[in-house]
Amino acid sequence: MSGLEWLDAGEAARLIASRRLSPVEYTRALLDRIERHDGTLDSFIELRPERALDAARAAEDAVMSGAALGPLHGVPYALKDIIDVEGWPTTAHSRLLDSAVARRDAEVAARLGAAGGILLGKLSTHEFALGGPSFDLPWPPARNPWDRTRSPGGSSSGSGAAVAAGFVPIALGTDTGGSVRNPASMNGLFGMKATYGRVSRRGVVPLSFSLDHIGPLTRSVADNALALSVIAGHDPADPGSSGEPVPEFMPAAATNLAGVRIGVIRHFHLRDLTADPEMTAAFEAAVGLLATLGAEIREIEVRPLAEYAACNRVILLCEACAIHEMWMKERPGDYGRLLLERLLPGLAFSGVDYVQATRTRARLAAEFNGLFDDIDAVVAINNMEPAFPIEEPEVAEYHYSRHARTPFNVTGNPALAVPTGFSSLGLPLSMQVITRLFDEALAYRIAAAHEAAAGWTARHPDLGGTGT
Amino acid sequence: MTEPRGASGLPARIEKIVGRERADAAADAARRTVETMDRDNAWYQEPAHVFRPLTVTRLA
Repeated sequence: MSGLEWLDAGEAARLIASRRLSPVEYTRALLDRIERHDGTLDSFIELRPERALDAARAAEDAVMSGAALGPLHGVPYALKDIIDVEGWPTTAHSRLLDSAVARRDAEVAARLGAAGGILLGKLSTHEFALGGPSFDLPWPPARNPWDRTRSPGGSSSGSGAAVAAGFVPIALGTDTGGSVRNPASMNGLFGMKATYGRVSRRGVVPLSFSLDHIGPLTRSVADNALALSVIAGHDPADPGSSGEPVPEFMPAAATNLAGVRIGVIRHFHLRDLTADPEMTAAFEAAVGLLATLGAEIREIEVRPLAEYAACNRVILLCEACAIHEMWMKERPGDYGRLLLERLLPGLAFSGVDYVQATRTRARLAAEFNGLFDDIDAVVAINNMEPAFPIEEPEVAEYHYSRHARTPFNVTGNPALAVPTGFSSLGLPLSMQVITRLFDEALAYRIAAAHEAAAGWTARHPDLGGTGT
Repeated sequence: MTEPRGASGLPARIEKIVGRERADAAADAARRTVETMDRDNAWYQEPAHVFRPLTVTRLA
């Protein structure tokens, strides 16, 4: 079967269950593709082909024996390398953890395995999900499949690159200030930061306890909803985990938005920061399309981006420095330059600053969620610019804070990155759909209607060469 | 005991490791961030996350 690299996870699972696709053939095709192309993308830190093929053979046996199959039975996936898998190293892309071997699966890894997924490997990340792209670490940074001279975003950099490159249909990333939605934006993918507490963080290297989220990156809305349905749900081992029931995330028919009231935030990219004109034009085209699909559009204003960003930064860096304090004192030379640089301001905040930030956070979240008395969803821009050249540190630093993602880590609301087209250089563009707490289903409904009407996701990067 | 602070305001031990220039830059970045944050909270405003003894003791 050809074209396996662009097969959706949901479609692959259906083909496997009906014995029209062999999990072994599928897994081998993706491993071959990784073998052929990842040498120039560096999306994987560790690949275990034999283990994956063993699991695929077991999956095939289960299909042939008529066993009950999980929703991802026989479907390959990969994990950002801050997520534990029993017996595998979890490096966080850092010298500090390069010999740490996990003793048990993270909750999300266990759930993907129980659903029948086949783990191919662990993916590149910015160091400890904060410092990158960096060239002074034991592994090179991942590159963007749409243009290898550019960054794939981060911190879930390998997750974005691997899914966009057709190496896996699903990868997990983590999002503390936007690290799922950023690589989703730069690679033309859907990336979900669900409600805080929706997905267990147990077994995932923390960056900031109260802001960390885990979420899927996929090439289609349906796959994203499928992946979230597998990893979502209460986990008593995670003190932040929610007991909210997990609903059906993917609506049966997702083509009509009649009756959906959508608030549009424009001041993030027109006044607070100024976005690239192509990003702005694509955002306006997407808003226009949502109106054509029946949504009621109204402009809304919230706090300036800088206020959300400052609140996020104080909490994130104080919590991160509490985690890293011992290493910063005892092994500072083992950090990459960029991570140490980004952590240091956290040591200058006071205890009062931190508590004030958490009080401000509660206020910002209450204010933002009050908007949902009159609207059902919000759309806002994602990055201000498309992917930037990866080998120019000053350019990377300039782009580091040029986005509109931190507000929704602060408020905890679901925020889904949605592709809005391509720049004149062929680089992906993106927006975010934000909904009420625990209403991920509506974000998926809006994104699915847009996806079907816009058709942006039919386009894939050309990695060169022939075959799968 | 509070950890001694260097001239930059960062812990003296860290300042010695990274150098005064980088420590000063970090302290400046922190100051700018704090100045941007709206900290005008009402006296009764609770933090976003409060101690939940039941949850914590169950995990211990």
